[in-house]
Amino acid sequence: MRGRVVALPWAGQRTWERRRGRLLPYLLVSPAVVLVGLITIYPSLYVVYTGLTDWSLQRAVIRFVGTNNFLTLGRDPLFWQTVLNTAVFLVGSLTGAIVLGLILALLLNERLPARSIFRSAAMVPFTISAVVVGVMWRWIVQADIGIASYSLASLFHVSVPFLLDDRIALGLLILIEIWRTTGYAMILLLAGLQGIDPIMYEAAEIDGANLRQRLGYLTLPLLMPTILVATVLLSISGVNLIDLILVVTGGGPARLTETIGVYMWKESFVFFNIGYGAAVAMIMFLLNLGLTLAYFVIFRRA
Amino acid sequence: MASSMKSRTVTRRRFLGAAAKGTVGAAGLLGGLSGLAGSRLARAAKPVTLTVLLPEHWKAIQGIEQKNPSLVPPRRMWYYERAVQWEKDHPDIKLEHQSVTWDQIAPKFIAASQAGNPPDILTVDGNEIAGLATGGFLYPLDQFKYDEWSDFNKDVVDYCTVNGRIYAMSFYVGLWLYFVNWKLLKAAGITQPAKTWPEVVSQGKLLTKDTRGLGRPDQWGFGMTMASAAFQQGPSHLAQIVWSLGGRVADAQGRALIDTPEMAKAVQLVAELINKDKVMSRDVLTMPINGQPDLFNSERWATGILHSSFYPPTVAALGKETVGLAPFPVFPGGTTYGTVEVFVSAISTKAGKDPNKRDAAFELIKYFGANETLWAAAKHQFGLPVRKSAVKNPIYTQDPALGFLAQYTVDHGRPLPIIKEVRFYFETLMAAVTTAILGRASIQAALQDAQRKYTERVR
Repeated sequence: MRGRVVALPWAGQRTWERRRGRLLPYLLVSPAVVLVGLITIYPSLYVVYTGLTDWSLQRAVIRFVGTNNFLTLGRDPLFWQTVLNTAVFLVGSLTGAIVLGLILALLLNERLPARSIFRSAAMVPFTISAVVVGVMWRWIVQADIGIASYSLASLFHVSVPFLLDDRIALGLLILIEIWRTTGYAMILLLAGLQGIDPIMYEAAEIDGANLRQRLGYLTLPLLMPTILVATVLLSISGVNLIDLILVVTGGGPARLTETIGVYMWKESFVFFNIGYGAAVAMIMFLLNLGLTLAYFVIFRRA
Repeated sequence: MASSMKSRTVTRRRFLGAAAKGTVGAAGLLGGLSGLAGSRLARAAKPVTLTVLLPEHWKAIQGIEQKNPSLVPPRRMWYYERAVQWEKDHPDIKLEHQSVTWDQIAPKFIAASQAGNPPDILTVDGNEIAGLATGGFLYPLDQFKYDEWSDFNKDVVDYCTVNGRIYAMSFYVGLWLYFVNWKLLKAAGITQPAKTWPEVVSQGKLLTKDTRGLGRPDQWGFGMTMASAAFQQGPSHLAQIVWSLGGRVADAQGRALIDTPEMAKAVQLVAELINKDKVMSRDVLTMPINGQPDLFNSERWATGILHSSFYPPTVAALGKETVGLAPFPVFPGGTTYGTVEVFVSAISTKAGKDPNKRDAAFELIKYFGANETLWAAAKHQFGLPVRKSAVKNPIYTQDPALGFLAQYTVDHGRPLPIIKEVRFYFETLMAAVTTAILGRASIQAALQDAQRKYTERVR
C-alpha cells in the first residue's frame, strides 16, 4: 500500500478546488495590480522612454536621441547648481525639521496642560497648501512693506535683501520648509514615542538612569525606525518640492535658488522640453532612490 | 452524457455566434442610423458650442454666465459687452468659457491639445503664437476667405505670421510707456516729464526720498520691472532701449541677439539706475508680475514704466490730474519705441478641422478682431488700436490720454519680433541681467554666457 496512489472519484474536483484556491488571491488583487500598472508603472516607463527622446511641445516631430539628454544635463552648469542647491536645502530642512520635531514630540509626550491643542497647532503649517505658505512668507519678507523687512528697518535700520541675495534666499526657503514640516515630523515621532513601552522607562529609572541616559540609550535607539521613516518621507518631499520655491523666489535671483525639482518643472512646463524634463525627472527618481537606500544603511548602522 | 455535453457546447457556440452576428448587425444599423441622423443635422445647421479659453485674471466668466455685469471688473467690461452681444447676434453659436492664469494659457492649451480635447478658441499673448503654430496646435486663419487683413497694422499681422501663414488675429494691443505722478513731480519742482535717460536720473534724484526716516528710500524716482517672474516685461523694456539705440533683439531667422553692444548699453543703463544713480529700487529684480500699479498707486514709484491698460486703475486710485503719460525715455538723440503687447485669438487645429465648428470659430475670431471690440476695449481698459480704420473713431480723440496712446501706438509701437524658444530667451536674458546688476559677473560676461546658452538651446 505504501507509496501507492489511489485515484478516488472526487480527486479531480479537489485538484480544481485547490487550483482555484491558489488562483483566488491573484484574482482578488488583480484589479489593484491593473490600476497601479495603469496609473504608476505605465507612466513611469513612459517617462523613461520620453527621457530618451527630444520631445518638445513646440515641435511636431519627436526623435529618439538615446542618452543625449543625460549628456547635455551633465554639461549644464545650471543642473549641477540645482543639485547643490537641493543638497543644501535637504540637509538644512531635514535636520531642522527632525531635530525640532523630536524636541516638540518629547515635550508634547509629557503630561502638559492643553497638550492636545499644542499638538494640533504644531500640525497646522503642514496642513496649509504650500502655495499659500509661499505667498504668506513672500508677503512677510517683501521689501519695505513686508512685516519682517519693515520691522528690521524700523528697529535696527537694517535692510535684509531676502530675495536678492541667493544665499539668504536659499536660507529663507530652508527656514520656511522647517516651519512647514516640523509639525509633520513631530506627529510621526510622537506616534513612535507612544509605541515605546512605559515599563522600559520604569525599569531604567529603577536602574538609576537619568533623563539624558534614558534619552540616549532608550528613547533614541527605539525611535530610530520612526526617525528613518520621517527622514525618508521628508527627504522625498524635499527633493520633489516645487510649488513653495516657485512662489517664494521663483528660483531667483538669476536662477540661483532653483532646486532640481524646479529645474525639471521649468524645462518641462515653461520651456516645453518634455524629453529633457523627463530625463531630469529620472535623475530625481534615482536621487530619491539613492537617498532612501543611504538612509537605510546609515540608520541600520546607527 | 458525452453526446449531451457536445450538443450543449454546439448550442452555446451557435448562440454566441448568433449573438456576435446580431451585435455587429445592430452596431452597423445604429451606425448607419446615426450617420443618417448626423448628415441630416449637419444639413439643418445644428447649433454649435464653441469653447473659449480666457485669462483667469479677466474674471469675466461668472458675469457672462449669470448675465450680471456687476460681477465683472470695470476693465474687462469690454469682453462682457462683446460676449453678451455675440449671444444676441448668434443664437445658434453658443460660447462656453474656460479660464486659467495668464502664464498657464499656452501650457494648458498644449496639454489639452495633446489629450485631444483643446478649447476651440484661444485668447493669448501673441508671443506664444510662434511656438503653438510650430507645434501644430493652431489652425491657419488664411484658410478662410477674409479681405480685411490689409486693415490691420502690418507689424501686428507679421507678428501672427509663422512660416508664411497667419495663425492669429489681434483684438487689441497695449504698450509700456512712461507714467508720472504729477503731484510728486510738482512737489519736487519738476514741470516736464523726463524725455531722456539723463533727465530720468536727474529728476529721479529729486524724487527719491526716505519719507519714513528708516535710512533707505521708500519713494523711488523711477521704476521699471526687471524681474524674471514678470516674464516678457523686462525683455520688452530692454527691447525698447535697444531699438532706440538702433539695435535689434533678434535676427531674421528668429534667433535672439543677446550679446550685442546695444543690449550691453541697455543693461548698463538699468544697472546704473539701480547701483550708481540709486533712483530705482533693487527690488524691481524680484517684484511680482504686474506689481507696478500697486507701487505707482501707493506713490512708492514717482515715475515708472507701466502698461497702458493700467491707466484707468491708476486714474481711479490717484485722480486724473495726478496721472500723466509720456513717451518711453531715450538716450539723447534716440527714437522712442513702445513695445506693443499683442493680444490675439486663434483657432485650435481640432476645431479648424471640424466641419461643424470651423466656420463658426472663424466667425468668432472675426468678431473679436472687429473695430467694435477695439472700441469697447478702448473705452474700458485703454485697449489700443490694431486696425487703421479703427483710429478714426472719436473714442480715441475724445480722451486726450487715449488719443495720445493711440497715436503713440501708431507712430512708435512695435511688437517684439518672433523669437525661437521665446520663454527660454526671457528667462535666460533676465537671469543675465540680474547677475550683472547684482555684480556677480560683468555685463559683458553675463550677456556672453546668456547668448551661449541660448544658441546651444536653439541649435
